[in-house]
Amino acid sequence: MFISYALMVYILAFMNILLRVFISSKIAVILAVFFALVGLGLNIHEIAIRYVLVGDFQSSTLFDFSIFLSIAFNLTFLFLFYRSKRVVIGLFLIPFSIIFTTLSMFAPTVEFPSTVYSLWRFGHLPFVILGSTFFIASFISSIMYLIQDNNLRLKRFGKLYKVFPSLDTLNNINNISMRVGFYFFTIGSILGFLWIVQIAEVNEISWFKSLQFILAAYPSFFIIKISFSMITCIYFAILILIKVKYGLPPKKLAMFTVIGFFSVILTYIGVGVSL
Amino acid sequence: MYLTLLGLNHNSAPIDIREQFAIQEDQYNKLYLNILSKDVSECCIISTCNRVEFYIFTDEDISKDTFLEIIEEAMSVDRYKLDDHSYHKSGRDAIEHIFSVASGLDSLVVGEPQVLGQVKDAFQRAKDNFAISTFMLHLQDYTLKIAKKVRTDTGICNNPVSVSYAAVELAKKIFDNLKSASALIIGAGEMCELAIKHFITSEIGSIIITNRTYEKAVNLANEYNARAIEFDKFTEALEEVDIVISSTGADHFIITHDRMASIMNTRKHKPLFIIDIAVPRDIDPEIAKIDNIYLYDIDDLKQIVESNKKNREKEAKKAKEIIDVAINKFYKSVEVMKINPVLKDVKDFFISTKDNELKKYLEKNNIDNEAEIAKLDTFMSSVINKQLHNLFTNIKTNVDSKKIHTLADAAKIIFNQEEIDNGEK
Repeated sequence: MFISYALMVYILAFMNILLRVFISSKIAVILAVFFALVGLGLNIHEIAIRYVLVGDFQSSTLFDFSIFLSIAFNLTFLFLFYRSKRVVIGLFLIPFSIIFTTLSMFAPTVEFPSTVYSLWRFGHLPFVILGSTFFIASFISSIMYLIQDNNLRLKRFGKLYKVFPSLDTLNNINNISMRVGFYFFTIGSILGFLWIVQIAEVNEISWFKSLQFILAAYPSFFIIKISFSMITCIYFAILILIKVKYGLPPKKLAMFTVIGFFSVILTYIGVGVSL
Repeated sequence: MYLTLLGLNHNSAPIDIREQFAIQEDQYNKLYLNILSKDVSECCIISTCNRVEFYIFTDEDISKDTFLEIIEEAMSVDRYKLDDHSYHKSGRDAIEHIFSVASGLDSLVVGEPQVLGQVKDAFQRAKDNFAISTFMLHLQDYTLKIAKKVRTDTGICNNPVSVSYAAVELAKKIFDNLKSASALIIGAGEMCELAIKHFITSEIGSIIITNRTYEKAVNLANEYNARAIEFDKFTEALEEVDIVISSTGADHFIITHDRMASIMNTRKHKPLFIIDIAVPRDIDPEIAKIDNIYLYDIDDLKQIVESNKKNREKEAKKAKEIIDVAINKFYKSVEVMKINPVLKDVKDFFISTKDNELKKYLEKNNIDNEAEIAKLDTFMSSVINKQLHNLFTNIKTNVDSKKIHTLADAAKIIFNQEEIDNGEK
């Protein structure tokens, strides 16, 4: 029941963002953020109920995964709004919350007993998901930057020119989301590795053997997932380093962000293919 | 009460005529006194660079000749000259006119925002001179409300229609906050000065001015709290600033592609917004190909302005619809205002009747208990208020009806007993 309420408030949040972006309604900003916060509360409430019912945080079912994703997109929107005071990015992020909340309504909620109780597991999933949603925000803002840059250079003053914010704002959103995405994704990946180490300790084997065992059991899943998550971390680490140390023009940063995002996509394709 | 307007504006009178009728700040007091001494109940004068308009409320409808006479005597001006270049409107037309003026529909540049402030100031000035009361205050409230509604509900003010303002709006699509941006103005001509004014209004961080004649740059810089630099040093400034506006009389490019490419390397390709409003152009158009440079010339800006003007004209049609609806509402509210004294008399009559009847009843029944008297008084007041509320609502709803009714039919409408099939008799 709370999920249908969450869906409703996310739709209301989205409608208010549309009102803000297309007819510049000021009150719509407050309402959009209010509804997004209510949706977040309802989603968290759903997770809490699941914890009480099952006695554990579930992460393997499509239901829980969808709720996590819905929360992550919403949190990303709220964080970027807090930093940039613009709701335009919500035009692209809130629909994901709507999609995943809808998906969770139809997803099975079968509980899996945890094989190994691990705190690392609880950290791994939220961090990786949040890291990925921030990378998505960074990708979206980069695409918007490139479109707006093109509009300004070619002197095309159509609807997108009017609706999209300034290049400066888009560059700031890209900057913030890329950095936050990198920190979260890296922390999530490290926690994933610690989880493997814990599994090894429980089975009284070395972490290397444990990794070998997992790789042998699910080769395509882990090879693609681990490789591309490492590539993603390294790529964005280099990008941030270059930006901080030598400076990177906003347009180039947008282009590199778009390229880097494909390694995030490939990580998830790896997960999808193996599942 | 009749509202009448006599005025001249940029459409009816050339600038030399408008100058002759322009009113200085120190003339208002005497002018208001003179006009109000001529059987005029209320008066408001709107005087801007593009118009001088007199709005008066009188007990009787007055002709243009009478109005010209009043103004001739009040201002000591040539009435025939005023007659040739002025317009005279009354009633609905006058109301429509003031709504249009305040909404920016009657301005030289449709939708320009300053006129609303000027109308507001005009009403305030009239108030300060004790020239307005009930009706004009009501007109003021309506005018300002409608003007704000037009600006909020239509896009009439959304798109810039001057070259310098268009430049500032473009800058806002590159830099989020002009407070942290800096601009370099190359030249000290009229266009540059206009751009400086717009940038200052947008609270730009800092402005640097350069000109071949250094003194002119210094004078302009002093006037607008900016910094002046010598002309041969402007390329150094290009390494720091975010916006460049160039309008010199040079017959060659003062910024070339190669020079700019090297400057962009020094700037670490930080975005640079350049507006070249000079003819012939000051800036090599080839530099537009360099990444993170956004170069616009005068033709680009004119194209934006023309397209925005067309958009404003479309929005003006929507604004007219809002004004039409507002005029009807205003008329109705004026009719309600006119009938208010009658309604007050009716209420007073009912209250005095209640007091008398209550007094008789108390004496007849020897009631002197204060609590019981208060209870009876409250009860009777409540019955009267409820009846009068319904009655007054029905009267106010039908106050602007032009139909003629028999007394019996009118009573039915007032007491809301039944619909009248055909009120026209």
